[in-house]
Amino acid sequence: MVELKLKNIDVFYDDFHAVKHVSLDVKDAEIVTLLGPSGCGKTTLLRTIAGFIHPVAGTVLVDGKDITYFPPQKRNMGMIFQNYALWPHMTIEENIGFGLKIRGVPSDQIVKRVAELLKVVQLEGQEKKYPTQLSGGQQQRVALARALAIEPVVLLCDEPLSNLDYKLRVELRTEIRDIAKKMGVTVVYVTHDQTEALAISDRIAVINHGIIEQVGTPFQIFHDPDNLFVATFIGESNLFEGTIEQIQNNSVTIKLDAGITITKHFETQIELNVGDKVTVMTRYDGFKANEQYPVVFSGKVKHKAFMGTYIQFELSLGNGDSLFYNEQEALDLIQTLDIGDELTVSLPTEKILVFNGAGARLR
Amino acid sequence: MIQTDSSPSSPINRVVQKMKTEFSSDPLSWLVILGISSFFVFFMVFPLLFVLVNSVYYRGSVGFDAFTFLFTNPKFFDPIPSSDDYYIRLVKQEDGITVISLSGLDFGIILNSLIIAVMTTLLSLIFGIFTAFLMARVEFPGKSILGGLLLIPLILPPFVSGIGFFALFGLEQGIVNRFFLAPLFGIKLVFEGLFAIIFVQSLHYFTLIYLNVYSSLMNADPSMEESAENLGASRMTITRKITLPLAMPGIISGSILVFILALEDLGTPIIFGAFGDPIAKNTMTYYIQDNIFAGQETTEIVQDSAALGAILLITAIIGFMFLRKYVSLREYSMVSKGRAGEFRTYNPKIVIKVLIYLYFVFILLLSTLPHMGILYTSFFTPGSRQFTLDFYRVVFASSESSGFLLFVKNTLVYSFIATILIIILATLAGYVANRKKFPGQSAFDALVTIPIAIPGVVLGIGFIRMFGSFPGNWGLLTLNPIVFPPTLLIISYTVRKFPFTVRAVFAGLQQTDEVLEEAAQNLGANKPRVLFGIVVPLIAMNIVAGALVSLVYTMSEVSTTLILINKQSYGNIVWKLADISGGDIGVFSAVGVLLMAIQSLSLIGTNLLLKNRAEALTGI
Repeated sequence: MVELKLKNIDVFYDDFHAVKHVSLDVKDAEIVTLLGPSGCGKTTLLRTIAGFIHPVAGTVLVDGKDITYFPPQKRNMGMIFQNYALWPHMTIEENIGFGLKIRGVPSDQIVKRVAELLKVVQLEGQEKKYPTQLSGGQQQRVALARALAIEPVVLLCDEPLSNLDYKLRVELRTEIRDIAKKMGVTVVYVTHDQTEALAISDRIAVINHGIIEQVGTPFQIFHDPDNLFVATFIGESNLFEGTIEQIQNNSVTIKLDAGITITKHFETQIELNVGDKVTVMTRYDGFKANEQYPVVFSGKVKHKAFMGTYIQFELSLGNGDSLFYNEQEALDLIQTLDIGDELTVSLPTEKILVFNGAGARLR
Repeated sequence: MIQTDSSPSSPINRVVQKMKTEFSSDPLSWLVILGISSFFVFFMVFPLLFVLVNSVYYRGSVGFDAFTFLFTNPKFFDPIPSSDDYYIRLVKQEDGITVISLSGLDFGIILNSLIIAVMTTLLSLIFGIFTAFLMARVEFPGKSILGGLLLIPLILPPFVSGIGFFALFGLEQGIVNRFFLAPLFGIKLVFEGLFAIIFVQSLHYFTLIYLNVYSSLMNADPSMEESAENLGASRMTITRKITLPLAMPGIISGSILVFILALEDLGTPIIFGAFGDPIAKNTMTYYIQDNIFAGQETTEIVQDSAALGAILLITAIIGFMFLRKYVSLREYSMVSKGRAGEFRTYNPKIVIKVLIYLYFVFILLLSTLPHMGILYTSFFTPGSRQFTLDFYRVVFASSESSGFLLFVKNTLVYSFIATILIIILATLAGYVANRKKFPGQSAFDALVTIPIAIPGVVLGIGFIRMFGSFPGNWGLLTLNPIVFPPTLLIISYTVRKFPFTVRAVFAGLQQTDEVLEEAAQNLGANKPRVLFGIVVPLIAMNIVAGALVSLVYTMSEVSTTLILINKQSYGNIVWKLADISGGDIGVFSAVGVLLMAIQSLSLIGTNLLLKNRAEALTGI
């Protein structure tokens, strides 16, 4: 059982407040991803967990034990780095066995363990090679084996796939997840790539400006964002400005600046008044061209791009706003449309998300 | 009773607490910082302060009298030299041969040294920049061999080159004068005074400018020139507007280095002085080493020497401050991320190529003449041109206790111990300077790089002044140089040649990703294990290369060697060379050739390891 708890962590770089009062619980054998744009503080938070950075305030707990000021070498956490960080002067075997050697494991056991791990990462027989003789993907596999060799309490991954090409990234992220699950390791994973985060994580913590905006399963983060930042950072989204026209119990009518009127039912009474500004968001999918849903958008085709399994349209709405939508089904119907042609699409009300002026989700 | 604020939340307590936490989190680095700082403060800063104090405080009285004396006495400061001096003079001898003497006016000790330094810098600049441009941007066969040959001047200290010069251009015995100029043209060419020193130094130091500028040119981003070319700039415009400005930091830092080294050079004036050139003796370094003790029973320094030392030191430190500014500037023109291809070089027409070869023949001939001269005089008897191995026999037949083998042994012992100390200290210092952020970092950085600018003679007299009264009975740890010079001599080599290795270590660390250390720490390695298991093996090449450079330079160190060694039994090759410089040229040359051989081996090793990275060779 390994549980990692971060409590009210604050990290400063001189005057810059890089991590602000962050708390996060990671359960045993869970894969939690810290996701956010460059400079949001995700790597800083990971390095705080690793012990390379000491927070100004807050605590890092592993199974209830305060390790906030432990040096990195006393934490027994494995880490994999963006550029692999394999030691070029050591063989693959020496790299993987390094942590075990420090722990005084007898050399015959090291050899055995290294062989096992090489099998896990599918690099059997490469013991005597040097890192430079391996490809990038293979090097990262070695780095993974090296981190796992010490049977870490937590595996920390700092954008481990950023230096690899797309196909290898997809392949390796599945592999990392499978191996972590098989070995039952608790993982904290840092990436700025949302697809990677969605694919690999049990839960995602979306970070922005040093603050955790939302923690949730990939499904929750994508379909049920708490705020406008999470909604726009993950996935593609259309945003429309609008004004509240009418409030009747939990039902609210919103008039978009683009001229479209939407009536949406909320779970609870919202704390807004008629005349207040809101932002309405939709994903690119969920629209239908040949069905009648309550929310209707009409406009002229501005751009049209064939994307393989779907066609992406940009419709110019009345006030100059654009609506992007991906058509996956009515490909025959849609292919005949040309730039400038009129098109009407609709989508169900539940696919519309509404945010108040401060960006908080109205539920 | 004084009440001190010691409540738990007091600012002092918090600072103490912070220091404690900082120290306990990384004790190794802090021990290194404190240890190395103390070493340099004790063996460099303090001795230099002794000289500075000695220059204004003498036998109980404080004042700038010594400086007033220096600047009002024409021996030291003579802006209007006597009419007897000349730049060039032609004298017809009785045998009908015209002796053309190139000399220079005697402006007094202080101005002479400054003139030598400035002129050497200018001449070195002209040859250095031109050579670097040809090597970096022009395509012609045989370039890599030339690259090696151009380093030859570095393998002889200028003062040994000085002897080589006498072997060639001496009035009576000089080979060129005797067998070539006199019979064929009826003339003899004689170099004297400031001209001779400037000439010998320039041929040595232009290499440093060449290495610096070459490395600036090779490290610049090729796309900078290409984008100018793409926008329609001609080759001339690119050179003027892009290449030269980008190489400027390299040019300036190289010139400051040459200025400092030329200013503090003691060897060349000593040689020309020993051969009876009176103007050569009128330089600051010569005067200082010739006038050290103020009396028989004292370690006080003659105040004129201390004041001259202060002038030398301050000039050199000002130079060093500019040097640091430009060395950090050099980073601007460096490639930061990835590099778009290689520089395209200019492939000139055949006529131009011939001119380029002629230039290289000229410059290599000039710069290797002294070496050839030494080689010649070590095998041929003076005058009769008879081949002989006698000089080498004298060297090798001598007994280990008194003869040349003793000097060779001493040279190796002093240099190797110093180099080992340098390796240890420079590796640790380079590591903390590069990897650790700490208050006073830039002061630490300055402390470990400034020795390159500290004139050896000043450090030498500082050592005598400070340690001369130390106990003389600590065995091998005796620091008193009057009783037992070797220990302090080794320390002086360590201090003075330390920057060459620390620079190489630093360069190595810059190329090594810190993440490799973090990965080891993460897996449980403590600081010493990270340092010795990961860092040292990764930068081993740089350490070895830097150490070789330091070794080469310790073997030819002149200033502190001549000041500190006071007995034959402690003598090394350089000391012996200076001792016999006015005497037996043949034996001197044979010893010079041996020194050259040992240094060549080290330098070849360095060149193989460092390739084009000149930082370690120039030490900046």
